[in-house]
Amino acid sequence: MGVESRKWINENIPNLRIKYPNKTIIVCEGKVVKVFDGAVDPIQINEVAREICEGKDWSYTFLSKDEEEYIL
Amino acid sequence: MILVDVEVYNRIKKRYELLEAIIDTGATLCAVAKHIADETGLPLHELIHLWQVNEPLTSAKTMLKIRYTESEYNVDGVITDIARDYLRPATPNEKCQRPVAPHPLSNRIIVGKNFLEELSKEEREEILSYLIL
Repeated sequence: MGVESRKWINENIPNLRIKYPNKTIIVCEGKVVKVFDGAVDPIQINEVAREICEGKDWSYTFLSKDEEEYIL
Repeated sequence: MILVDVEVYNRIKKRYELLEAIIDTGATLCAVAKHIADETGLPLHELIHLWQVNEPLTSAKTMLKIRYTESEYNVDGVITDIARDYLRPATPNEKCQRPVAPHPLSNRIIVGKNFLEELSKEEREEILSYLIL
């Protein structure tokens, strides 16, 4: 499970939103290793991450520019 | 918004899938979009009638097998169909001001109170501490 990668995402999310607006990123061991346009089906993300992050700690997120302002 | 990673068992591929999850302490149950439920083979159980902020909601219940850290939990969830017109105005006269953005559940799930209650006090405290990062 991506414990360290999730922690890295949560710590860096303000900067990541600026650098990768409206992109989905896969993070592996503290680095962005893959970028997709828009929100991507998470099962597809798992397929890709299994190939490029095999055996490593990884995580993903979608970086909406302003999504959080509109969620109750 | 607090985001964590959980692993949800995929009954079709017989393996766990890592899913980003929104922690929602106000949600009684976990929630999964139908397309993710279909891809992971989640069982469809009875319909239940829930309350949300402005109107009742009827959803199919399901059972999720979730792995978090080293432990596995079987928790109830609901399967929600993301409407194609989810950006619609809330009332006939309102002009929707929300930006065009993917539905928050298109690429993640909600883990609700019923999952958090399964965790240890230490795990809950750790998760809630992410809010103040």
